[in-house]
Amino acid sequence: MTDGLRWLLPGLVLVVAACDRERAANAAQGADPATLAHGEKLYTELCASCHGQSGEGAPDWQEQQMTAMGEMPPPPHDSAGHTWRHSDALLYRIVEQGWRDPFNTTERLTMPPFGDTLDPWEIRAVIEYLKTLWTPDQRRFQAAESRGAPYPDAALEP
Amino acid sequence: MQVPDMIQSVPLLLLLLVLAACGGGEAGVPAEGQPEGPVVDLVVRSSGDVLLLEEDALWTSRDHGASWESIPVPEGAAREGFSSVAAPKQRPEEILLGGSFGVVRTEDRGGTWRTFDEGLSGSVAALAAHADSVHILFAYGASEGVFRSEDSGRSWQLMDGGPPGDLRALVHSNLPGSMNTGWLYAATESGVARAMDCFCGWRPSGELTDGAEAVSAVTVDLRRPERVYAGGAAGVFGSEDGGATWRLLSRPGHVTALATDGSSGTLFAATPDPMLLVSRDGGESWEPTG
Repeated sequence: MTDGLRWLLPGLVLVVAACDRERAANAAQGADPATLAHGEKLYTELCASCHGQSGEGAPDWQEQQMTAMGEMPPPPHDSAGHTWRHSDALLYRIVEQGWRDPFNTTERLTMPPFGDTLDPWEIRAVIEYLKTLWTPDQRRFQAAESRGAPYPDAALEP
Repeated sequence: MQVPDMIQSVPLLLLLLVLAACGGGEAGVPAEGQPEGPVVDLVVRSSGDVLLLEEDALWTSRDHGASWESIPVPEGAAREGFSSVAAPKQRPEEILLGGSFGVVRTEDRGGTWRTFDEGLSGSVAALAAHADSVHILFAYGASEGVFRSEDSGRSWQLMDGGPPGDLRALVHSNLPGSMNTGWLYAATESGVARAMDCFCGWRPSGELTDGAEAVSAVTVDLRRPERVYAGGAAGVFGSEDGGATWRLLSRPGHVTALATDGSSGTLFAATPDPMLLVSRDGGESWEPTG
C-alpha cells in the first residue's frame, strides 16, 4: 500500500463517521430545508384538503363530536392540535398505514394509508414539516416522546 | 461500654439521626374501630383486596368486605381530608392518597408516608393508576387539569385541562384502539367523558340513559375493558362497548364510588347506606358486604 493510500483510508473513515453523525443530528434536531420544503409540498397536495391548508383541521374539530357519517372529523396538526403529543414512530405508522378512531361507526380508515404513495423518506418529510407548525415547547415534548420511538431507519435518507 | 467506645459511636449516631430526618417520611397512624362511611373512594387491588377510603381513614379487606383492617395514614393529611386513593398494579405495599394536601405515598402499607408532588399544584380531587404500567399514574387537580406521573408519583406533568365540568372520579383502561397505551374515563357532572391517554382531547363517552347526567363514580372491568360502569344518584349504568352506549343496570341508591375486582369481575359500590354493596352479576343486583 502506498503512503498516500495509507492516510487516505483513515481519512475516509473519519469523513463517513462525520456524515453519519450529521444525519443522526438532522434526524434528532429536525430536517434540513430541502426536506422541509418537500414535506410542505406533499402536505399541500395530499393532506390539506382534510387537515386544512395551514394544519388547522376540520372546521368543527373542536366539538369532538361525530360527523353525520359517524366519524371523528380530521384534527388539526398545528399547535392547537395533539399531533405533537405523539412520537415519530407513531406518526410515521399512522401516515404509512392509516388510522380510524375505534369509536367511529364506520369501519373505513378515515385517515387513509400513504405507504404505497409515499416512500419512507417522504413520510418523514411530511411529519418534519408538521413540526414547523408547533411551538418550541411542543417540539421539545415531542422530541422527548420520540427518543424511545424514532423513525424507522429507512425514513432517514431520501 | 467504655467512654472511648461511646465517643467512637457518636458520629454513627449522628449519621443515623440525619438519615432519619431526611428520608424517613411521616409515620402512619391507624384508625380505630371499623369503617362507617361515608366512602369517598374505592379500589380493588390485583390481589383482590379492597381499599376503602373515608375522608380521614383508609381500610382494607381481604374477604370482599366481610372484615376490615385499618391502614395507617398520615395524620396531617387526614385532618385535611382525603379525596382519592390509587394502588399501582402488582405493588402490594404501595398506595397513594390524594387530597387538598396534594399526593402522599406509602411503600410499606402505611408504615411511613412521603409527599410526592413535584410538578403538582393545588389539591388533588382524583387519582388513577395505569391499567398495566406500575410506574404511570394520573391525578386530577381541580384548578389545573389532569397530570401524569411516569415515575410512580415522584414527579408530575400537567397534560391537559381535563374534560369540561367538575371531574369527580378517574379510571384508566387498556381498551385497544388508543393512539397511546389506553384510555381515561372521567365521571363528571355532565356524564362520562373519555380521552385517549395521549391526551388528544376529551369527548363525551356516549349518553347515559334515563335522563341522568351527573355521575360520581366510574370503573372498568379490566378482564374485558370494553365493559365500563358509571354510578351516581340515578343508579349504576353499564356499557359493553367502551362507553359508546349505556343502559341503566340497577338502582342501589346514590353511588359515590365504584370499583371492579379485575380477577373476578365482582363489582363494589359505595352508597350512604349501606356503606358498601357487592354485585356478582355485572351490576344487575346488589347485596351488602359483610
